[in-house]
Amino acid sequence: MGLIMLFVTSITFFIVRLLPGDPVFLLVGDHPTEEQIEKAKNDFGLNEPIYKQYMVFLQKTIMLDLGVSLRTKQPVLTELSKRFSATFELVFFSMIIALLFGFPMGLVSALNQNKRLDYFFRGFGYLGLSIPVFWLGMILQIIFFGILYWLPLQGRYSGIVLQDSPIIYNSGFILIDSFFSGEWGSFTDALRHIILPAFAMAFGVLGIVFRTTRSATIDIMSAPFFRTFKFYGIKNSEIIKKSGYKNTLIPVSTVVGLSFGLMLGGTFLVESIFDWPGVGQFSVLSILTRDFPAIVGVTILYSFIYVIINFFIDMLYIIVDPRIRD
Amino acid sequence: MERTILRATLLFLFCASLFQFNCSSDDVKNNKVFVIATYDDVKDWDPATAFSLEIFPMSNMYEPLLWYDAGVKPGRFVPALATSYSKSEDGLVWVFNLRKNVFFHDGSKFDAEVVKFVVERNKKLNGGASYIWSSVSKIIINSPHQITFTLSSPVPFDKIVSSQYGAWMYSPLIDSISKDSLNYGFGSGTGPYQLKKWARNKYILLDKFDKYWGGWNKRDHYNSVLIQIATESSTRFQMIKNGIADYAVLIPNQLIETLENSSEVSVSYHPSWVNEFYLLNTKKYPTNNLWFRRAIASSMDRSVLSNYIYKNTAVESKGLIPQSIPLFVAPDSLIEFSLDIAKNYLNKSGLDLTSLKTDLSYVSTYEQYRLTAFLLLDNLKKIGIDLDLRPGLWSTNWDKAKNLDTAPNIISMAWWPTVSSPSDWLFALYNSQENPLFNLSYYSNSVVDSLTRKAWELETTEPKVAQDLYKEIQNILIDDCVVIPAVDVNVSSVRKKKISGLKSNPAYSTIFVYDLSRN
Amino acid sequence: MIKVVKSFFSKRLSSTALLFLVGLFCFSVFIPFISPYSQDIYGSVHFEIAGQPPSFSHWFGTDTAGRDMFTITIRAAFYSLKIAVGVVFFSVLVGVPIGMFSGVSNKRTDEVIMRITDGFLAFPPMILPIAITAILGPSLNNVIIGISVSWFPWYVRIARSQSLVISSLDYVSISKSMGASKYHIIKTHVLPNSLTPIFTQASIDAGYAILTAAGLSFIGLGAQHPEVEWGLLVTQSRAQFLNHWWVVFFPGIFMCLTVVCFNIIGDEFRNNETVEK
Repeated sequence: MGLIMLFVTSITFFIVRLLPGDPVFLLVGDHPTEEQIEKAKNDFGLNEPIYKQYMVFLQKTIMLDLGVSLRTKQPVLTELSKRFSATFELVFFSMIIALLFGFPMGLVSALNQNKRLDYFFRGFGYLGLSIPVFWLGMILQIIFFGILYWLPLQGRYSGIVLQDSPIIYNSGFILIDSFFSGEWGSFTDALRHIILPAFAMAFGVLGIVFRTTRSATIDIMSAPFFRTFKFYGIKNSEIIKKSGYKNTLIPVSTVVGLSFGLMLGGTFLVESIFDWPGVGQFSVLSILTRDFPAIVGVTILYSFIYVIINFFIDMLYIIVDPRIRD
Repeated sequence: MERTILRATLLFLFCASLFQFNCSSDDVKNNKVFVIATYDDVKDWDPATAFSLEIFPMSNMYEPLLWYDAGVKPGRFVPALATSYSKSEDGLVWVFNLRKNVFFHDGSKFDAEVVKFVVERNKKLNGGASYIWSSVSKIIINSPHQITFTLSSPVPFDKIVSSQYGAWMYSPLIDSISKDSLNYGFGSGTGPYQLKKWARNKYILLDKFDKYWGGWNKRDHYNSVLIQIATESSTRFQMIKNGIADYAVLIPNQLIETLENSSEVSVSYHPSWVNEFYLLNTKKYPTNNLWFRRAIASSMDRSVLSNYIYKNTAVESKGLIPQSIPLFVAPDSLIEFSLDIAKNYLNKSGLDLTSLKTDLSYVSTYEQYRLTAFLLLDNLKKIGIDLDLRPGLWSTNWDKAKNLDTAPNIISMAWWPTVSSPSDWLFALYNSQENPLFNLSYYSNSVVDSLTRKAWELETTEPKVAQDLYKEIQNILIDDCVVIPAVDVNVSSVRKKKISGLKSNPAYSTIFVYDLSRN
Repeated sequence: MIKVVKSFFSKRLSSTALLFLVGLFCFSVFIPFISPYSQDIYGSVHFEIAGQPPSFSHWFGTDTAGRDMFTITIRAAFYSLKIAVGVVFFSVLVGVPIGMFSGVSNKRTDEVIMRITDGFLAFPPMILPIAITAILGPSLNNVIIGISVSWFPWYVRIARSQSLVISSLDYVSISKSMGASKYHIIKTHVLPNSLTPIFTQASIDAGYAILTAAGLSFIGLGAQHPEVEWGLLVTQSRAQFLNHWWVVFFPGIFMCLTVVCFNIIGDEFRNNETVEK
């Protein structure tokens, strides 16, 4: 585990050094003089040989000192923790949408196998898997902002709410925060902002959840216990409603876990389009500007999340399916 | 069943409430807050070294010794913290009389000691634009309100003290503040507004400074300035459209077009001191061939740029420096667009076109650069040159261009001056540099070097002669075909119709809220 | 394998999908000879007719440089399909031999190869392709390399697990004990039996390669003008998209349909896989 993270961070370190573009530029502004550049290079140890830089980097990383972002001049750790709440909120909300629609659709589709509704839902599922997430985001923006003017185009909250409810700055999770403090203005504002990006991200995962639920349910329907129930004259939908759906929980929870990873990749694009102040947007800008402390920080954060997710999936198996415990 | 209906109704009401717009922007109006929507945050709160978007808060918080008003013709200097000044015959000794009874936001008093402190500190820090003071060799305090500068060369010092960056006077108490707390927001100037709150990457709130020397009794002033950061242009667009913002920065053309018939928002364009051009690498094959460079320059159709690509946001360049800059003078002629002539030049170059690789690197984040690159690619294809496009962020392009091995043949550039003089372009872009910093055409000509120096030093004493020299230098550069001039950029001012008192001043890329009134 | 192909064509859905892909590819090859705006493919610009909505003369409208969107959208299929095939080809070419070798090798070698593979897979999505294309410079070929590098480990895994399963079968163990070489086992037993799962993965990945490449274009690291690729076409209009829906809509729809087709074909392979067992 630690070995993998060491591998990932080391590769990242060297890859970033290969990136074209001079990071010094980030430190000195648009029109620097020769001396300013030299000074900045010395200050950041960029004139040292690469192996020395690597050793220093390793030491610091192990002490969890991720350094200061060259672009924003903020400690990377602060930057990441601040932005992570935004990304997490978006991913979590998308996941809820995906489950809310995908799971029932899967059940209904399985119960109506090879009927019209099934075909319709399956087509929908295919579309979910195949739609380019940034394109969907733009189309949603055209419809709901450009034509209908119903929902805001970008951002996480309106500028004006910023003034009225200072609550926003206290914690990263705007939706939860404003909900529990009863700031309805902020809450609806934040909700209106999250709808489009969350739907854009949810669509792909919705397809995955749908397909998994559907095939799992079909499997169950051919299981012996199911036939027994049927023999007693109980309707398919009743069996599923009472007990059958439980057996789909393992595969569904697995794909949900794995989809978190997929979504984190999606945040790169969706956050850029919707100007969502999260980790994804931060990563893209960091890579493009060669802000290497930030890139390394992002990589460490993401690989850590993967490790955690995999751990949780394993735990879920144990909880949902007692047989594994032995 | 009833429960289902109830649920559905609740859901519907909930959804409906989501789609309603909050119209609480009235509060802002009543609060007398001027809201600016901008795209990035302050990176450096030290007024000595700040060199970027800091201009928005800082130009409202700080003042230099003199302002330069470039909105009138000819441009003139306006007293700020210096009420008057005089210079010696040889342009080496400058005496400034300072304004009395001026206080900083932290309560300390402004006098000649402060000016000396600021100039010396800036020189020592040597970051951002602080190098503008490098020609100062001696500072003498004559009295609390008079100060004398002795210069090492006869440069136009009034231009330096009115520079957009690096010329602000700030409280000496800055030295008692740690570098760290400077990073949490700092401001102590003499300007009309003082820093009240800064939420990083969200907003900067400035409040009026009651003891401002200019007073607050003249007009219907704004009491506060709220600078809101919205990185995406469409968010800023939405803010101005919904009336949340009074003034928005950098709104793309396409969005501006939809505002033109608006009854609430007004859009106007003002000349700026920024121009865009394409440097041709004179050391790298095949652009090291003069005729080949001329062929490329003749393929640039500037009329398409101004008519279709830039429209209102720029005008065709008339020289290598923007037309609105003081002492601007047009060269005899620019290389005209003509594909026939271009073909002719290409024949003269004697180059074999079949194995030729020419590349253009441009800043990918601007639509106009992209379309200009498309245009050039198409035109060059018509005369048989294949152009490779290399879009990228400026930092990447610039880094590659500084190394001759990775440098492109053509590179898009924009330039704006630190000191308002044509020489700013010439020194930075066309004077010989051993390791090119911004001389990305790798051009080196000792005649141009010495003429530039001469013109710059003559600016104060003999401006007419200086102007003639600037013309001569441009003629040489055009003859050597070092650069393809493109456009002089106009800045768009997107603001609420109600605001009055807005004046255009290309010398400062900001908005002076103190001068505005609410009706 | 032949059985798979046969059943494949007997299904209406999957054969339609295949037909669409083949048809689109042929159309994209011939469009330069058919379209009256074929010069636009090579970078011709006409600013005087920029930003026109769909009409009889321009079915999909024109973009901000005045190019005919229909012509370049169809032409873009060529490049996007090139990416799809290229990525899958290289990933399989590199991943499968490594995986099979790992599967039939001794435990130590297998362990080392798998740890390295895990390392690659632990990279956050998009970061590796973005970084590699940024290093190599944005172009169509570099996009193929960038995506392949981050995807080949998946094929290492599939090939390895297949070869583990197959080499533990009785008849394979017997031939092993009779002194058959690793190469022989891979050639005669492992390879023929792992084709279906690899094809399944490959056809699904082909679709995702198009989506990932489009994502890279969106960040500015994909194909470059005058090469046209769907992601690039959608992205190019970003400054304009609220006013010019057609520039965003059409390339996206084509991208969507193509990926759907690849998914359908992949599913068909998968179904056959389960039937085979």
